[in-house]
Amino acid sequence: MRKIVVALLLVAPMWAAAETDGGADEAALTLADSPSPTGQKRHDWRMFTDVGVGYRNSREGAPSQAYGRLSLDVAVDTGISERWRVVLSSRLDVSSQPPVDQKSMNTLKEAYVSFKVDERMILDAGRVNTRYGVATGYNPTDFFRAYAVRSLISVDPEALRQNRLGSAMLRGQWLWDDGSLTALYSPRVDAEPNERTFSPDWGASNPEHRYLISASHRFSPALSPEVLLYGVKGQPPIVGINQSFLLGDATVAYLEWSGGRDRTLLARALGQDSARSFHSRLAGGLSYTSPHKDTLTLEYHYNEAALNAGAWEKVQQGAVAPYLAYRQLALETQDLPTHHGLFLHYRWKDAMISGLDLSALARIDLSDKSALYWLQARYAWSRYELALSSQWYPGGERTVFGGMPQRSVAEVMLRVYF
Amino acid sequence: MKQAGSRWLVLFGLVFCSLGSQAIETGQGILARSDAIRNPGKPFSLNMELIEYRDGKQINFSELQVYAKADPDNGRFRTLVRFAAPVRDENKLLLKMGNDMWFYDPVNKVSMRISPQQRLLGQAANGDVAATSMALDYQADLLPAEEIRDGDRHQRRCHRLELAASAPDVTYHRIVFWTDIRNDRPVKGQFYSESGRLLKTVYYRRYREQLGIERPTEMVIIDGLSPSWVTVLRYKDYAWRDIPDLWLQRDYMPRFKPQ
Repeated sequence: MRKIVVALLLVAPMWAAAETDGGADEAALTLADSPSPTGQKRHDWRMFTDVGVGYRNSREGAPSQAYGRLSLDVAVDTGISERWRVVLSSRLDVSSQPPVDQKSMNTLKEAYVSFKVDERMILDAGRVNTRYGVATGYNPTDFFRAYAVRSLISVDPEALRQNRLGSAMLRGQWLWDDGSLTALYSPRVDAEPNERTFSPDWGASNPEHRYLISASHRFSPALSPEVLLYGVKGQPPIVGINQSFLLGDATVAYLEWSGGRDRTLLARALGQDSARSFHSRLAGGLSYTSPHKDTLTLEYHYNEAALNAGAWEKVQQGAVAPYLAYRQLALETQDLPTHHGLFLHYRWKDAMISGLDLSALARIDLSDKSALYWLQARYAWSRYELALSSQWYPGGERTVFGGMPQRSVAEVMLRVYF
Repeated sequence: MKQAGSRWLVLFGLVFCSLGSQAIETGQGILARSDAIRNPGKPFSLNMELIEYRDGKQINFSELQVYAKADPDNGRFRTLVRFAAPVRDENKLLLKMGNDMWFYDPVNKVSMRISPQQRLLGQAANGDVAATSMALDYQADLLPAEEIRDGDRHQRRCHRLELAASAPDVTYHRIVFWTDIRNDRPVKGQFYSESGRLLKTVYYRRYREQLGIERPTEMVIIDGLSPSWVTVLRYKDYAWRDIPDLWLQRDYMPRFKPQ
C-alpha cells in the first residue's frame, strides 16, 4: 500500500504538469476560435495630426515658457495609371511659443510624378526627399540634408529626416535583379531661403546645380555595398560608400563614409574663399537587439572638415559673431561641429506591455564633453499615439550642446491617424 | 516439408519487404512532404491576419500581404511581406532572404538591414510570416509514432520528427515536429532555443483547399514561457503569382506597390 502511495505521489506532479500544458493549449485554441476582427480598407494616403503641449526651460537670461503646438501631416502615394504614379507629402507645424518668431511653418516635403518606362527603369520628376545613409545619428552620405529642415520640432534623427524639404530634381533609376543604378540632376532654382509659411522655399532645397550617381549591388548576403558620387557645380565631386553587415542573429554593423576636397566648415561659415583639401566624414556603428525586443545602437561620428578640440576651444573663447556663424552653419547643414562625436540610441518596442515603446538617445561631443539626452515613452492604439518626451542639454557655456538656448524641454503629444 | 519451407520463404519475403519499405521512409522525406503542404510549389501570394492575445484579451491585429518565391539555386524561399494594417504600419515592407533581411518604412524612405532578432510582429518571428523550407534548414530524425491531439481537438496518429538546425541562418535551434501519418500534414511543432528552452508551441489547423491541395490556413502560436501570450496567424486568398526577381531586392522596396 505504501509503495502505491509513493508511486502515485511521484506520478502526480507529471500528471498535473501535463494537465497544465494541455489546459494552456486548450485555452489558446479556444481564443483562436474567435472570429477575425474587421479588416482595414487599403489607402493610398496617410494623414495624421499631432497636438502637443510642453515646457521649455531656458538658460539664464531668457524666459522659460510653456508652449503648444499643432501639426498636420499629409502624404499621398497613388498610381494614376499602370505607368504613372503621383507622390505628395506636406507638413504644417503651428506653435504658440516657438524658439524664434515664426509661429507656423509648412514643409512641402515631396511633390513629384513617377513614370515607369518598363519594369527595370523608372523616372521621377519634381520635389523628391532623397535620402541616403545606413547610420542613425549622422549621415555623411545624405548629401541633400543641408538646409532642408524648416521646422525643428524634434531631436529624433528619424523625425529630422522625415520632416524636411525634398529637392527638385530629375531622377532615373535602373534596376536589375540584385542591384540598381540611380542618377539625378537637381537644378539651382533660387539663391536665398524664404521663411514665409507656405513658401516652397526653393532657395533652401535648390540653391545650386547638383548631381548624384549611386549604385548598389548584392554580391552576397553579407556584401551589398552602395557607392555614391555627388557633385556641386564648380566644386570637386565627393565620393561616398554605405555598407552594413550582419553579425550573428542579433547584431547589425554598418559603416557610412564620404570624402572629397572641400573647404573647412569654419571657412564656409566665415565666407572665406580658402583652399580646398581632402576631408573625410564617417559614421560607424553597431546595433544589437536582445531577445526582449530592445535595440541598442552605438555610433562613432567623425568630421574632418570640422574644428578639432583646440580650434573649437579658441572659437568658443573668441568673438561672438564667428562663434554664432559657425554654430548656425553646422546646425543648418546637419553637420558635426567638431571632429568626434558619440551617439547612442535605445529603443524597447512593446516594453513590458504591448503597444508601449520606450526610446532614448544621447549625443556626446567628444571635444567639449557636452551632451544632449532625450527620453520618450510612446503608447500606440490602432489610430492614436500618446508620447511623453523630455530632453536636456548639459554642458558648459558655448559648448556644442551647452550653448543651446534651452536647458531642457518636456512635452506631451497626442497623434491621431485619420 | 517442402510446403512448410515455401511458407517460411514467403513469410521471410514479406517481412523483408515490409522492413525495406520502412527503411525508405525517412524523417527528411516526411518533412519535405509536409513542406510541400505548407508551401505551394510555384511563386505565390497570400493575405495574412495576425491576431495577438495576452491573458485572453486581443492586444494587436495586423494584416499582411505575403509574396514568396523559391530561389532556383538553393530552393530556399525569398519573401516580401507588406504590412496592410494597422494604419500606422501601412505599406511598411519586410524582405527576407534567409538571414539577409531588410525593412522599409515609407515614411523614412530608407531600406535598412535588420537582424533576425528584430521581430517586427509581436511574438511571431519574421520566419513565421515568411515562407520557409524546413527540409532544407533542418536535419530530421524519425522517432516512434504517437497519438496526439491536434489543433481541431481530434486525436491524430502522427510521425514524430526531431529536427536539428543544419543551416547557420535558421530561426530555431531544435524543433519537435508532428505530422499526420496518413497524409504528412503538419499537426504541431515545439520550437526550442539553443539552451533547450521551449520558445513556442505551434498548432497547424483549419485545413482548407488552397491552390490545389488542402493546406493549413491557421497557425496558433503559444509562447513557451508565457502560455497566455497567443498569436494566431490566419492565411487566406492564396494565389499563384508571377513574382519577378526584381521585387525581391532591397532597392526595389521603395518602388513596390501592392498588387
